Amino acid sequence: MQPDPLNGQAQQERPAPGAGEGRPPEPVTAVPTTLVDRVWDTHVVASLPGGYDLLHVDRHLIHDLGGPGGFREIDKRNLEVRSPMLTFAVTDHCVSSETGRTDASTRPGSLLLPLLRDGCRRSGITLFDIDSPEQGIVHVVAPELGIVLPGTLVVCGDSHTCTNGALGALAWGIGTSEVAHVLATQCVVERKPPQCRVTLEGALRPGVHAKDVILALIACYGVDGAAGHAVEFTGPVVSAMDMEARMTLCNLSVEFGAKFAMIAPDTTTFDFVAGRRYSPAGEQWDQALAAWRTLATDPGAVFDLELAFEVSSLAPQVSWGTNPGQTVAVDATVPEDNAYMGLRAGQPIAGTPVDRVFIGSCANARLGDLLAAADIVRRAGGRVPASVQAWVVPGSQQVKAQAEALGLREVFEAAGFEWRQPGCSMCLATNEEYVGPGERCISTSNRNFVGRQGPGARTHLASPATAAISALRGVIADPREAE
Amino acid sequence: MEPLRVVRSVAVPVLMANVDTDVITPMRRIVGRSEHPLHHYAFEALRYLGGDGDTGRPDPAFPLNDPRYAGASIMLTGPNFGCGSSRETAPAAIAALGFRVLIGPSFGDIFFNNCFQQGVLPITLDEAVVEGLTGELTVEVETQTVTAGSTTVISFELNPLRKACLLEGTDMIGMSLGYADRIGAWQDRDRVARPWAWETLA
Ligand code: SF4
Repeated sequence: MQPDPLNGQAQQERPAPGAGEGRPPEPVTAVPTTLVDRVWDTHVVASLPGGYDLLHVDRHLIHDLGGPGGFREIDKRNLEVRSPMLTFAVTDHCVSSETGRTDASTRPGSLLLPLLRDGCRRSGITLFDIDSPEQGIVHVVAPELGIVLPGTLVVCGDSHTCTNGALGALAWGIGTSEVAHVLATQCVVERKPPQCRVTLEGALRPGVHAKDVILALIACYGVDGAAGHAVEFTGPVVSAMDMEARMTLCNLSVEFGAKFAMIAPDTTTFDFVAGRRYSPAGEQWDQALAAWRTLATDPGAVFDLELAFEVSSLAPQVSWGTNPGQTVAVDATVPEDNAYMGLRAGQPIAGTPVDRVFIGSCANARLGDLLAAADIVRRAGGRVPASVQAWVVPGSQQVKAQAEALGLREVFEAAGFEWRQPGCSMCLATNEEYVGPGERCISTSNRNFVGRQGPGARTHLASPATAAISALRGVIADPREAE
Repeated sequence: MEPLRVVRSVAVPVLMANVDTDVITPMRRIVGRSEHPLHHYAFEALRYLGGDGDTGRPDPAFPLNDPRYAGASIMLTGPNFGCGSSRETAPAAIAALGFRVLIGPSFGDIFFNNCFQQGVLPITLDEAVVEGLTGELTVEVETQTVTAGSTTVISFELNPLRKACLLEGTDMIGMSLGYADRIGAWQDRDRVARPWAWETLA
């Protein structure tokens, strides 16, 4: 499909030459800058050869899978953690999601959790351990606790760190040796990427969610649609979204090829951040707010790439292939044969029997996601057939507690879903929670690569609403049926 | 880390597209207890018959098992090599297999950066050029050239910072630690300018 960028429209937004004539001269301002420029430039500690910057990391997040390697590396070199108060650790990738879990519930956990714990203890890093009431998936926990704030620079050894860009933070994933680099220097070395503005136009129809928008966007422009770019999401659709939906949008920006994504903070953001455990309060809140209100792209700022996407006619989306761009509307047909997925060209995607349903991951395991899924369960009625194993894995202990307080656990359990302990679970299968070979899973996670959910696993990416209705029907189904 | 100045070697062609980091180092070998070091399992699904590095024999059809390329330290790669998850075990395993240079049309973004941390130089050249490279190659970091045979000299791009690190055999941590004072000064200024970014963490 040919993308239809709204370049013309974006250009019209720039002030016409001479537009200010006859009025008092505007104060002299520099070249219009973007949101990304604004946050990036204030974090430069030193400019390095070759266009690289040494940038200060305000918030460093580590987890059980990548953290131990970082500690090992700095130990090997006899280095200390430079600013332990700016690093937070969670247990998520390697923990089991079963009730009564311990380190020993998974092999990777038994190996890596003690190493993470030891590294954190020795260096004075705050850890949300397996039994902490704040434990959960790193990209769910960090915004939820107010660790990530607008205008901060955030890195984590995980590619979905871009989720945090939803708060107006500069946030991207790094590799293990970079984790060691950040531990040792509290800085990261990076080149400012080219910038891309994605304007989301229109309004979403009922039953259509942020996950559908980002999947459709990737399907339209391709998995390299924003290759290597820093993306700023903007437009009326974004303004209307709550923070959780914005996080879903930014979460899958790496699946769109982006280096990271960002959304300018607004009152939705400020309301979300206010009052959280590590959020500023009192006088400092006012100070922070004043700073955050300046975080926006100037009119007339020029992007390397402008993309636009109209969402008003969008249907719920489901992936049919082994990359997230291989996605169609739930009422469409599979466009080509795919042997791995066991699908033939021309067959309707809806009605395809599923073996597993996974509602979880940092893409879609926040309270709003669970509410959307539970809403479908309530409206649609019925039960998960015995042939289907359906899991709900809340993104964090806080999400889990809130959902339980709202009675969602009962809704899911009464309909035959399993209600589990927070963690990455079946998103990645490092915690030995696999989709079996040849089994078909509709999943609210973000990657459908070959073997991602276990060797031979067939993954269909979808929104929590679509996953919920599919669980009840035992086949891929359209959540609008339940409207 | 060994400085990287000149590499002379035959080049192994591993030219399929989109070889992701899970193919290079399978997750179950990273987190599981295994009989062999991780690089034994590199490209496991492609390299061993039956896709199992414990029970399968090397698949003679896979170029890494071809005796003509034994001991090679240059690998030719396909488009989007190293895409997928950010795991750094992928370039580490490639380094452990003895490779110092990868030459391909494009690389996964994080993988590309991670290569330098392992002293591996990824070189981006046009796909047609990559596919045309055969026999013994000479890669020279200082002049940023690939020489095939005695005549064909191809230039490649290399960031000056990366280049300095490769030539010195240091990595980014070594480089950045040299800025410790400036980092401290930045933090001192920032605590004053943005107290809200610091105080709640104390
Ligand atoms: S839920 Fe999945 S994508 Fe998110 S951090 Fe965990 S493994 Fe990564």
